[in-house]
This record gives sequence, structure tokens and C-alpha cells, in this order.
Amino acid sequence: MNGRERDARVEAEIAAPLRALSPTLDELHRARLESAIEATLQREDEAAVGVGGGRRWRLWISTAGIVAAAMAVVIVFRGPRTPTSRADLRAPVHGVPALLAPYHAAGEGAPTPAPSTSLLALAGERVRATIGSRVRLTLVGPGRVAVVSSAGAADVELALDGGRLLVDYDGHAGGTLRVRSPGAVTTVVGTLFAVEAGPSGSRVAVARGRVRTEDGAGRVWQVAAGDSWDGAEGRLSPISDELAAALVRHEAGWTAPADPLPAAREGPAQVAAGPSAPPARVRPDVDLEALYIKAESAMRGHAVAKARRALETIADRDRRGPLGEAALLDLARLALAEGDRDEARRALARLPGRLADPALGETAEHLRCRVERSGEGSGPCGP
Amino acid sequence: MIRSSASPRRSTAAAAAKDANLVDAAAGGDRNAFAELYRRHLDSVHARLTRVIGPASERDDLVQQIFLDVYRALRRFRGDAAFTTFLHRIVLNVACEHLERRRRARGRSEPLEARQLETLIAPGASPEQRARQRQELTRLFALLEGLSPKRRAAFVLVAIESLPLEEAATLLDARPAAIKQRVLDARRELARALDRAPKEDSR
Repeated sequence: MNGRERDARVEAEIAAPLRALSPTLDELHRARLESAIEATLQREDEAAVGVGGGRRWRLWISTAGIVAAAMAVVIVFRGPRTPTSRADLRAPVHGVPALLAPYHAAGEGAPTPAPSTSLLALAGERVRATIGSRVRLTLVGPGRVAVVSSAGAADVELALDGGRLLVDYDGHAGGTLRVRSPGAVTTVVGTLFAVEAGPSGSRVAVARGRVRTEDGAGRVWQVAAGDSWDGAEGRLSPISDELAAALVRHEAGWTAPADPLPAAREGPAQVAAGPSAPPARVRPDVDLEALYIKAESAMRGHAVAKARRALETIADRDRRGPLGEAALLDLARLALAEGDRDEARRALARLPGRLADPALGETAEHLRCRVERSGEGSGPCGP
Repeated sequence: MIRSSASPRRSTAAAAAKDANLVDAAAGGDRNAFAELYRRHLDSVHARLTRVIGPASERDDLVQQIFLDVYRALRRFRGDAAFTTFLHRIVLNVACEHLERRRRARGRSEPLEARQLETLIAPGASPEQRARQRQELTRLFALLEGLSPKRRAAFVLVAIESLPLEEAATLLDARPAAIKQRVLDARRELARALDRAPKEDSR
């Protein structure tokens, strides 16, 4: 056998079959790996700088999301996939505290189960739990949800492996909530929103405000109020009445403040034919000027994520005002600096047709020009 | 980073620019930026590690080790090369060290379990297909196990992932000529191993 024949045989019998493999991480495995990495890094920090340094990190992390605001409601729906077994799902998620405290409406006297790192609902069950005083969960089975990382009860990351998850999140005092579902990572940026994930992927629907969703390919979508993003189709459409009604039902189900109380298991979930719009909530006052100063400071310090969160909040709170418009322009600038033209285009598309501050018009045009021209080899945009 | 011929150069440049921003922030102590970095690269690290060492049970520990090494080394990263190059050099170092340890412990290392092999099999396969594929994968990884770590890594990068010699050489910190020789040696060894152990289904 000559060299060429030898190489051809190795190619056909070894290289080609191995090339055909595509090692992939499923959502839960990925979430657990991320959690383990985070725990490893946390230990590294504590070993490197001592307990004081560790505290400083935790403080930083807990304050990093200080501008994430208002109330958020998340609905995550998973299709026919059934959890394997209750015993399997009791496996603890390492490196995260047991934050999920089972909840029931006041007045029922069952013993209080201990908090856990994951929540399971069998087919037709509704199980409720809280995380601190800010997160209220309803899981409609069959499905499970696990806390995969946290920096206190305010900064929480959840992984949904099946079922429908409805979450109230009060981020007013700072913090962030992230929900991982198949093919999507949804982050609360200070709003009221819904996420829906089916067998073909996830969908995100926003009832009030706006959310940021990153799809499996790393593309970032800003989903605004009244819109729904479909991961399988990669496009926006109006929020469904069914999701909005489920959201109303979830909110109405919380009869008392979110104090941890005995566990709740109810009958099969039924989505009431309710109003399509969720109930209004009074949004807390935030000094947007002060927030803008923080955003500018973050931009100067290249703390892009922090700046973006502040700007999103400002844009959300001051939608028709000059501050909101300026925030959108800065969001477009940040996206352009990262080479993300689509993101910049989306930020600019959120500007009203007639700007509250006409002085910003020239800047908006300049940025639109940069968005359209970058990468096309055309001449530079005007000043 | 595992190459994707479908990725336009523009998006690769954008991804590199985003990495550079995140690296700057992470090197300055921004843990959220580092978290975003490892989330962005977790899949490619896991995939390459799997190709080089096989679906070993230690993969999760090694992935953690890789990102810990990256975290420790980040302040020394000067940006001379792309972050993905820096990252995957560490991936390959960790993988080769693991293979070396496994080689020394030959006879004491555990064979691949069906559960580990299952992670590489398409979900839609029938039970019969799965059994056949598990058998085939066991055979393939056993053949690779006969190679030295350096030859195995070079073979995986060049013959399986189809990386150019120069790129493989950068990742393995060697000259392209040395990589070419390692791949040639690996092919010779594998061909001899194929002669000794004919395919199961060819009987």
C-alpha cells in the first residue's frame, strides 16, 4: 500500500467518521458546567484575595445590575418533553445555594419543605416557589427548573429543562434575572415580559417594557412590548392572547406578599380566558438624570454591560423623552463599537419618528449612516 | 476556535472585537465580562476537548480547569493574537497533559462508558443504530488512544478539523513542518493499527 492509499484508508475509516461527530452540550449540562466554572472562579477569588476580596466581588456582582428595574414576569413554556424521574431531578446543582423556597397562599397548614436548588412539577401540576422577596415562580408541569447561579437572591440565573415557568421578578432595587431555555437566554433589563419555549426552540413575548434575548447563534434580540420573538423562525410577531392570559392568571394567583409559605401543588393548569393586556403596575420613580450620569461613567470605564443596562432602563422609562432618545443613540454607538450593526440598527429603529429633542436628529442620521455604510467600503459619514 | 467555513469574515471580526472588549474588561476585574467570555466559548472548548481526548468522563473537570487557567492567565494576555487562539492553546495544553497522564496510567484508566459515548450519537438514532455507533466509536477512540498526545492532537486538528498547518502549529506551539511530520506519523501508525484490527463489520 502506497502513501496515498494509506492516507485514503485512514481518512475513510477514521478521520471522516470522527469529523461527522458534533459534540454538543444540552441546556442543562451547559448550565451546570457554567455553574461549576463560576464556583471554581469564586473559590479562586477567595483564595487569591482572602475573604474580604470575595466579599468585594460579591458586592460588585450584586450592584452590577443596579439599574435593572421595575417588575418582570416571565412565562416559559416547554412542549412535550417530560422530565425523567423525580429522583433524577432531585440531584443538587453544585455551587449554588438552595434558593427556591416552596410557597403557598396563606392559610394552609402543611409543613414547610426545605428550600432547594431545583423545582419539579409533574404533568398537570402547578408548583410555586419564591427566591428571596423578589422572585415568584409558578412551574406548570411536566417540567423542572433549576437555579444554576446566583450572587444573592437579586442576581439569579435559572435553567428550564421542561414545562412552563411563570416568574414575577422585582428588579427595582437592582439585580438581574436570566432564564436559560432551549436555544435562548433571556435577560431581564427592567420590564414585564414573557418567554415561551417549545420543542422547536424558545419564544419570547413581552407584555410591558423590553427584554434582551440571545439566541443559540449568539444573535441578540431586543423584544419590545406587545411583540413576541420566535427562535425557530427568527422573527418578531404580536404577543399571543394565550400567553398574556396566562400571565394575568399567574399574577392573580399570588394573594399575599411573596413570603415563603408551605408548598403548593394544584390541579392541572388551565389558562383562563382573561384580558389580553396584563394589569398595569405603578413603576417606581428613578432619577433618570442620575442614572444617565452612571451610564456615562460606565461607558468611560468600558463597563459596557453596566452602561447598556442603565441605558436600556432610561430608554424604557423615558420612551418619548429626550433622555430616552439619547440613551438609544448611545446604545447604537455601543453596538457599533462592538461591530454589531444589527443591534445598532435595532436601537435606532426604536427612536420615534419625530424626536422630542430635534438637536439629536443630526446625531441619529450620522449613526444611521454609519450603520448602513460600515463594512461596505463606502466613504465615511459626515460629521 | 473550531472553524466554521459558513461564517462570514465580517462576523468573525465582530466576534473577535467583542472578545477583545470582554478581555479588556475581564482583565480589569470585571467578572461579568469573564462570565460572558466563557459562555461565548464554552461550546467550542467542549467540542474541541471532546475531539482530542474523546468523550472521557473527566471532560467537565478539564473544562473547568481550562477556564480557571484562562482566568489566571488573562492579565498576561497582551492581545498579540486573537483571544480564541490564546484560549485554544490552553485547551490543547490541558488536553495533551490529560492524554499524557492517561498514557502513564494505561491499564488503570477506565474504558469509555456507553453513557459517555451516547453524548456523541444523534438523538434520532434507533436502539440498534445506537449500539452499532457505540461500538464504532469505541473502536475509533481506541485507535486514537494508540497515538502519542502530540501526534493525536496534530491529527485531530489537521485531519479531522481540517485546520491549515500554520493554524495548527500556532495552537500547538510548534513549527508547521513539525506538525506535518506528526500528522504523517499519526497516519502511518493508524494505518498499521487498522491492519492489525480490522473493522468489526467487515468480518
